[in-house]
Order: sequence, then C-alpha cells, then structure tokens
Amino acid sequence: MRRRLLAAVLLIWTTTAPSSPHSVPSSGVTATIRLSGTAEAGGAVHWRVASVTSGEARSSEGVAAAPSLAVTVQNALAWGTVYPGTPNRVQTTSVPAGATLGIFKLTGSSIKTSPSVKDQFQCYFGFPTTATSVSPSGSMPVLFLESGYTYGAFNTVPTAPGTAIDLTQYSSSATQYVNRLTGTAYTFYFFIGGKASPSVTQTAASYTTTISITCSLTGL
Amino acid sequence: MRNHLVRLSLAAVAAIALSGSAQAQTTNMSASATVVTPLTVTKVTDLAYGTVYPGLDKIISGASNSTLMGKFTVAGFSTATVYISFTLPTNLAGSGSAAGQSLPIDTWNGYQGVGATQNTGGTAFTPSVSTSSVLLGASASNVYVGASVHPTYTQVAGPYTGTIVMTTVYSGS
Repeated sequence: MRRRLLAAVLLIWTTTAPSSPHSVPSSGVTATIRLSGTAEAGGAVHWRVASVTSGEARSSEGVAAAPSLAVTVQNALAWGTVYPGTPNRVQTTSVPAGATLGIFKLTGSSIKTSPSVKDQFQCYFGFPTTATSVSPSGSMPVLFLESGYTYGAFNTVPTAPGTAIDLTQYSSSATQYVNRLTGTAYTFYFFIGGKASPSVTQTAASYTTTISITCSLTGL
Repeated sequence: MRNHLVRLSLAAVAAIALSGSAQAQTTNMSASATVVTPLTVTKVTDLAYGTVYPGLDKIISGASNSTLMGKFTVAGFSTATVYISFTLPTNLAGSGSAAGQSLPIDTWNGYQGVGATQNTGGTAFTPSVSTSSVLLGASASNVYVGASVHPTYTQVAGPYTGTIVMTTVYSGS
C-alpha cells in the first residue's frame, strides 16, 4: 500500500528575524512556506528556502520588491482661448477645440505572488478656485468641484459617458479615492477637466493655476 | 511487490506576502487659460425720429430714413463671434407736455457687420425676434437699429422717449 504522508508547515519570517532554520519530518512532505515581512517604499526583501530531499540539498531564492508608486502629469489641463463672459467647460466627455484634458498617471508595481495579497492606493486632490495672471495682475474663477469634470480609470481613456467617477469629492485628505490594484504592474489614470468662468470684463491675459494630487500605496 | 522505499520529498512553495506603506507621492498639474479682450459696446447715435405728425406712421429702416437709425459698435477679439440680443420698448413714454402719454413703437429691424453702413456691407436681422450673431473683425462691428412709431390722430404733442438695450456676449468660438 502506497502511503503518502502529507503535512503542511507554515513558517513565518519577518524582516527583523530573517534567518530561522526549521526542520520538517523526514518523510514525504509537502511544505508550504509563507514568508511575510515589511519593506520600506522602494525597498526589497531577499528570500531563500533550503530543503533536503533524500539527502540532496536544494535551495531556492528570490527577491520580492516592495510596492512602488509614481504619479506623473501626462497632460496639463488647458482651456485654450477663453472669452470674457462666456464660461469655458472642459469635461471628460466633451473637450472643446483648442482645449486639453488634464491627465494624472499613476504607475507602479505591487506584490501579487499570492492571491490573498491585495494592495490598494489612495489619492486625494487639491482643486483651486481661482486662476491668476501675472501681467497684468488678475484672477479668474475656476471650478472643478462639479460632477462630470473628473474621471478615473485603469488603463483606458474616458470614452464612455456615464461611467465617469466623480473624483471631486476627494478634494480633502479626509476623503480619499481608494482603488484596488489590478496586477503586479499597474497604470491608472485620473482625467481632470474643469470650468473657467471669466467675467464680462475679465482682463485679457494668460491665467494659470495648480491642481495637486497626493497618492499613497497601502498593502492589506 | 511494491517497493516501500519511502521517497523523501519536500516541495517548498514560498508565498511572499510583503506589505508596504509607500510614502505619499504628490504631483502638481498646471491648468491654464488665455483670456481674450473683453467686449466693448458703444452707443454711437440714438434712434431719432425727429418730428412726428399725429396720424402718420414714421418708419426708420435700412430702406427708409436709414440715416436716422440708431447705431451701436461692438469691439473685441478679432474673428470672434458675438451674440447680440435686445430689450426693446413697446411704447415711447411722453414727458413734458406729453407726460403720461405713450407712443407705440414696433416693427424692429436691424443691420450689422464690420464696416457696414445702415444698409450695405452687412447682414439684416430682426432685433425683436431672437439672438443674432455678429462676427467681429479687426475693427469694430456696426449694429444699426430701426423701428416704426404709430402716433394716433389725437396724439398729445410733446417729447417721447424710450430705451433700447443691446446685450452682447461672446459665443465662445
């Protein structure tokens, strides 16, 4: 009679105690070894598992990178030519001629060697209420906190009206947009539109303002 | 007979569960706009009927008494399209010896264009019907307005006036 002896051994390592030799019964064994630890952003954990099979020593090793996150500006938001007294709307589903939809791009990697591991990122936005000109000095109201002006999506572009995510509610650190990562390497886009509202007597000039985004990555 | 030789085997499956709390990343995006010259609207001449006789309508239009048409100019960003609309009186109000009296006015007509005179070089429009558009040029666009007054046979003599309001706004293109 064929006998098989199955056993599972769970070994927990941490980065503070990386070397913890363990032995397993000298019989037919399938061992599952789970290594867990914490790495700082941009860091990595080197791991190695050694085993002996019928007196033959084997080992396996690798490097697990820490989750990473980078946020860049792919497109700056531009309203183009704006006419005094006429609001100019750049929306995720409607971009006027001469205007450009703003795009923040998130890229990075997470650890997905186990299905039970899921990373998530969270972002919040800083939307201004005015744009300013230097010469001549002036200001112009701008609006982002309105549905239809922002949109978030994985690996895609905003072409489907009605599927936009209203990100404007995440304009403070207390309300952050959270989304699970979709793979070990990911790309996520935030599309940013807005409305410029020049008065009828708005001084002719170039006006600029700044939209900020702060994102962090957290493993579960 | 089966070989009961125990095969020693160890398959090690390492699942790395590595969690990290990455430092927050902050990035700024600029948002910019170029605002063009605001519109400037100027009243050049009033719509002036001069002497009006009781019982006789007086018409001012591009085809009749055109030099008496009221005139506005609109200036702004060259090549921009501007919407114009009007708030028009239905009666002129009497003052002085005609205080409390009214003089009906209707049949509004207009003519506009860059460099246009009252009836040439531009486009006719009807101020009382709907918003019209004006294409601005390097120089101001002229807008002329006329109408008809209808004094009765017993119209009280005296001055009558009213106010024509023209509103302009960029179309955004």
